[in-house]
Parts: sequence; C-alpha cells; structure tokens
Amino acid sequence: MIPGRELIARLTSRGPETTPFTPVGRGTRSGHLPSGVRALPLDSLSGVEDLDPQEMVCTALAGTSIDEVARAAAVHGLLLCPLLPEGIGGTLGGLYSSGIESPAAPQEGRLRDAVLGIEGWTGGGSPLRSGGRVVKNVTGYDLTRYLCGARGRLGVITRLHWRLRRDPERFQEVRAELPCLRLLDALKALRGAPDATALRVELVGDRVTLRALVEGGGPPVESRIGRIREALAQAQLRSEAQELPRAALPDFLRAELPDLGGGSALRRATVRQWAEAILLAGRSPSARGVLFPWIGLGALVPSTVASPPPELHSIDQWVREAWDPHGNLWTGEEAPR
Amino acid sequence: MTPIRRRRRDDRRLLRALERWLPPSRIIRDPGECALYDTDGLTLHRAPPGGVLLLESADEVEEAVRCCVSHGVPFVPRGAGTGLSGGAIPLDHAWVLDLSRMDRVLEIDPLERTARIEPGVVNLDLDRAAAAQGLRYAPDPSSQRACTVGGNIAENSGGPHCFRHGMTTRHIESLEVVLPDGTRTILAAPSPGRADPRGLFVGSEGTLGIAVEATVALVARPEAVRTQLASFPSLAAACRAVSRVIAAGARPAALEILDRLTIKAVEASVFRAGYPLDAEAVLLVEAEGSAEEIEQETAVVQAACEAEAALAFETADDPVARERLWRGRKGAFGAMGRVARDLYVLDGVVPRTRLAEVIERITKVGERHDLVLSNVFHAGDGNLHPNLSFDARDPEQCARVLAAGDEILRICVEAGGTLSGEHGIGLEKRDHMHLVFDAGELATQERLRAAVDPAGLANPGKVIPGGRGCVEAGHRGPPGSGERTARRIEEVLG
Repeated sequence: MIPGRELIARLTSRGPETTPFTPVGRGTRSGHLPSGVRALPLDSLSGVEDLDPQEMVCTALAGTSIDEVARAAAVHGLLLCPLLPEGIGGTLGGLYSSGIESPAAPQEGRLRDAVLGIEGWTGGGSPLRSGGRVVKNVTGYDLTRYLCGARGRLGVITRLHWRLRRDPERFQEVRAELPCLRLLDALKALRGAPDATALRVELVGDRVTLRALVEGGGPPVESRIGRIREALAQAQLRSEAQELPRAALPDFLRAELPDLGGGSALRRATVRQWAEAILLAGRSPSARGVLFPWIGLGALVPSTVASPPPELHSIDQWVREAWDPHGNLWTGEEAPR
Repeated sequence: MTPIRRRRRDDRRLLRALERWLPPSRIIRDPGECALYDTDGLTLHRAPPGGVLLLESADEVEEAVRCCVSHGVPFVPRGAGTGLSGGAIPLDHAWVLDLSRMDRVLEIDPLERTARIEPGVVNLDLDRAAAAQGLRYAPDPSSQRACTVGGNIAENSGGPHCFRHGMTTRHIESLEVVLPDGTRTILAAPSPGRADPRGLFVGSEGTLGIAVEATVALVARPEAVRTQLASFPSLAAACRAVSRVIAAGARPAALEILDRLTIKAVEASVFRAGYPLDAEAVLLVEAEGSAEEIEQETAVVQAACEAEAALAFETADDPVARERLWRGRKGAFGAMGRVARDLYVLDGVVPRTRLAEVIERITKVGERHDLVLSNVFHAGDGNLHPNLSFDARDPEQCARVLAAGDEILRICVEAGGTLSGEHGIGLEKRDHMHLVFDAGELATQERLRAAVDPAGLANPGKVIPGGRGCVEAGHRGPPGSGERTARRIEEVLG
C-alpha cells in the first residue's frame, strides 16, 4: 500500500478557487513559499521501515529525517549513497526532491542513481510507483530518475528505497596550489591519474587550490595518492597529501559558497568553460569561487558563466497536464494560479 | 472532452510521401526482405512490418516520423535487432525505422570524458574508439559486438561491468531525440527544480521517441585488470561466495556465475574457455584498479571462495588469458545454440542474498516442464538469466517454454525482485506488468505515455499492457488533454 492516501485526499479535494499545494518535509530546502501556495506537510510520514545491511538497501517514508537514516545506516558501517555533505538536514523526501548533485557522481553515480525506487501520488491523486529494492530494475518507465530533483511539482513522493554504501571511515586529500592560469593544465594532468572520489577547486583572487578527495587507507590508497601527486608533478605542479578530518568532509563536499553574495548561485558548465571562466574571474583580486569540475558545477564571483533560464521541458508540461489536470500541485512559478 | 482521433491509417500515401525524399533503395516493402525485420532477439514472437526505412541522419528520422504521424502509421525504431524482450518487433504492421546506418562516433573529448555519437554505433565500436584516448564506455551487454548504443539507450541495457559502473542511464549526459509527434528536442541535465527527462527517456523502449544523437559519459580505463575464476561443487555455494565478497567490502567490476550446463555447452563450442568440467558452477570476478588494489581485492575474493569450498581458483592478468576467461561468459548464449535450435533468455532480478534459493526454485520449474534450463547471470546485481533451450518450430515446446518463463518471473517477483534488470519489458513481459504494478499504477504510466505520444504510434503494444491504441489512450487522458493533443498534432502536421 502506497502511504499518504489521506494527504492526497486533502490535495485532490482542493476546490478550484483555492491555492495549490507543494509538498514540504522540514522546510529546509523549500525556502519561503510565495503567497498563494500551501504547504502539504509530509513530516507525519516518517520512519525507517527496513534497512538490510547485506543488500545495502534502506526503505523509509519520505518525511524521515536524513539524520535518522544516517544513524540507522551507521550502526552497520554504512552511509547513504552517494557521498553527500553530512548535516545537510531535512528529510529523505526533500533530499530526493532537491536532486542535489554529489561531487562523487562520476565515481558512484548521481543522487538519482542511488534511489532504487519511489512510491507516491500524482497531483491528480493517482498512485505512482517505480523501481523497488533491487539494484537493477527496468520494469516500466523510470519515474525514479525522472522525478528526482522535481521538487514535488509533478508528484508527491511518500516512500523511497535508497541504496547504501560502505563507510570508508577515513578520508585523505591531495592539495595543490597554483595560479589560475595553470588550472587547465592541472585538470588535464589529473585526467591521466587514478580517479579521486571527488575533485574540488577553490579560487581566491588569481590563485586556485585544487583538492582531490581519496577514500580509505592502507597501501593501495597510499599508492593511489602517490600516483595523483606524480601526475601533478609531471605538470610541474607541487602538491601535498594530508588527512581530511571527518568533520571537514561536509565543507569539502558542499557545492555552495554561502558567504558569497549575489551572482554566486551554482551554475553548470563544461570543464573547459569553467577553466576559462576562472581565468577571467582571476583578473579581479576579489574573485572567489568553488568548482567541482568533474560534475561541471560551480559558483563564481565575478561570474562569466551564463546559466540558461530554467525552462519547463515540453515533456514535463505534458506530463503535468496528464497527471495533475486541475493544477493541485504548485508548478514552482512565482505567481500560482 | 474531445476524443483524440487517430489519423486514418494510409500506408499507400505514406509510401508516396516517403518516396519524395528517400531513395527507393532505402525503402523496403518486399515481404521477403521485410521478413528479416519481423523479430529481434526474442524469436518466440514475430510480426511482419508494414515496411522498413533505412535511415542515415537525424533529419531523415525526424522526417520519417512526421510522415508516419501524418498518415496514421505506427513506427518502431531498430538498431541491430539484438534486443531480448521483443522491443523491436513491429506489432500492428508498424514501419521499422532502421537506424543501424547512423553509426558514426562524432567526437570524443578526453578532457570532458564524453563521446558524441549517432544511435547506430555498435557498443564495442564506441568502446574501441574511446580506448584510443585511454577511456572506455562502461555498459557492456553480452551482445556488445553487435548491439547499438541507441538500442542500449532504449532498453537501459546493462552488462557484467554495470555492477560497478552502473547501467546505460548513468552514462547518458544528453540526448537529441525525435518525439513521437515528430518534434526534435534536446534532453539534458535539468535546471534546478525540474524533472530529469533523460531519466524518463532512457529505457522507454522507443515508446516516448527516438534518440538520434547522444552524448555519453566515458570512464578511465583501469590501470590494471585481473580476472579470477573460481569453480564450485554447487551453484548455491557460488551464490553464497558472491554474498561473502560483497559483505567483505570488496568492489569488483563484475561478478558473474555460469552453471554446469552452460559450462559444458561453452567448453564444447568455439567459445571454449578452459572452465573445469567437473564444477557445478563457476564464478568469474573482475578486479580493476592499481596493482595494490587488485592484490587486496584478490585476497578478499579468494578467501570468500575458499570459505565456500571452492574446487579451484585461477587468476589471469594478461589480456590474452583474461580474454579467454571472458570468452566463455560472453559466448555463453551462442554456445547454448549447440543444445537446441532456439534459446529463450529470461531476465529477472532478485535480492542477491536470495539468489541460491531462487535458483533452486527455478531449476524445479525447468524440470517440471521437461525443459533444458541453464543459468548465466550477473550475480553481483542479483540479475538472473535463466535460459530455456527449445525448438521454436514445435508449438507444444513453445507453449511449455512460455509457461515456464511465466512461472520463473513470478518466482522473481515473489522473492522481492522484479521482471527485468536490463532487457526491458517490450512485448515479452508486457502482460506480466500486473505482477509488479496494480491497475492504478499502470494507468499512471499509461497516462504519461499518452501525454507524450497521444497518437499512440510510437512502438505500439510495448511496455504497458493494453496501451496500444491512440483512441484508447486518448480516452484515458485527463480533461482537456484531447484538445491539447489534437492541437499539437495539427501543429506538427501544419
């Protein structure tokens, strides 16, 4: 039985004169809702229903806090997949709906790849289910990947099946400081080195710090670190390796610059475009930025990376009309119907 | 509500429209030649196409779809025709849009680690092109020497190395697609707060449109690779060894099991790999990484195999020896051709901790139906491929094969698994969808399909049970969708 039927009854009994709803977990990511939009709280749908350490899969209701899931997984030496900043708060459903990018995506897949299945309801009140608890599943349309990041605008997700990963317990980083002029060389050199779990680039003025995250310890990991450093050395770049304290991991993984003002919003670009943008930005002594080049996401001030305006793809428009003909769910536009 | 009216089907006018821009040599209407397209890798079912178009560019695909839509004619995209769920079988005399000539690798970018390709590129050809840059395309279905990446996108194909690297969908950066109404659009990474249409499109089996170009992600070729082969006194022991490997925290690139019958068939064929004939099962494990990482992983795998009383353990580091060990796995389906004329390759998924129990139940199904049943499977993912050998010329055998297949799929679902891990639903499992989804959930999927393909012409009769006709689909649509759809069709047709 798909949970949340009562909530959906509230949604679908909305009269034509009333305002649309938007699903809300703990409100950590929804921000301020514009007037004319009502919250559909999911916090009553909470709880880890099943966590199988052998299959490394967890099933939880959408309103379950991420911290609760993380605690349940930690008992078995497991983490939520993919690697994400700890302490990001909120609920599992909110995390799924945010579609937040993991800097480790090239190594372990995007957030949407970690969600094995979803259950919920369309805005029109029809049941919606996709995937399940097995790691491979191509049965029917892949609504799990489709709706990840849609912020509940096409449906209300009430239960999720989530993949878990092993906790490596230890993290290290290779660090190199260089002028932003050399960033492209460094990135090219790293493409020929063993893959790090994630790569972070920080810009201050005309200098960048390049930080490669490596998981685990022991001789194989030391050898990996050695070869990353060797690749940088071949590009005449000096580097050092150091332990990354667990407490510092969230900051490493956070694709945000909270202390930067306007214009620092995350943008998406190719590796080459980012290297060029950083080169341009670095002409200003006040330039600041953070970039995860392997996933193409970053924030930069002053920014020369243009982001296309968010568009509703025609497919989404058609699906919304089919699934929610009365517009029960808020579309995300500032002035709802 | 205005019901959607499907355009009256007119194949003759369609032909005339096509002849205006497509050379006659690329339009196949001869029944004998068309018969080559009446099935795919699922030879249990056949249906003759209305015609076949050999297309060579995205513009031609767009034009062909527009022509089909404007004449009410259903269409089915086709790559190499290696699909195993009947996804390319042209039901309803659909016209086949053959994309195998669109086989160019347009660009490989080593810095971005992407390749831009046409849909007819053969999977292995893409991997070889990437290899020249020190990269590889990770999804590697058993048919990778023949199957096209466009087909892989349609089915969300997997392969042995997807255990570590993920399915096709994980490797799709962006797609250029022709939607079922003939419009061409790009599906790329979504803006914040938007759904990810790439996720929906991959695995939609040609029912939501046709990919005419793809940008795929490539991964680094590993520094070193080691293939390990362990043989076991029972299939259950091999399955338990897999659980031990994973529980020990190892992350091999592939974990594959072949049972005794498959071993015998392989060893008697041109795919002979030197598998021990006294074993009830062999486990193939591939480790990737640095020499140190491989040594560490080998120790874990060996210990897991020894704990399950493995009969022998062999490792291969050099490419020739590794290729030999893989030859048996990759050629297993071909080798089964020695056992019988036809092979029905099933594709079910179960939680990997239940592999041994499920295999035992499946074996009994084969015995009960007096069928030769062999197993080759992606053990790390719990993705089973029970294979039933039979002679398709014998209707009684076919009936037994279908009945056994039905039972096997039910067992997988009962065990907490699902109908398909990598072959898709297609025609084969369309009528099994009710085992996984209830009527309301199927209706939600059907509404989505009807929203994207209101005329119901894109690969009709696949994926969703009963979701074949446009009128039927249109009547299921929400209020207002009829007018909207009619408007859209008119816009497309001008």
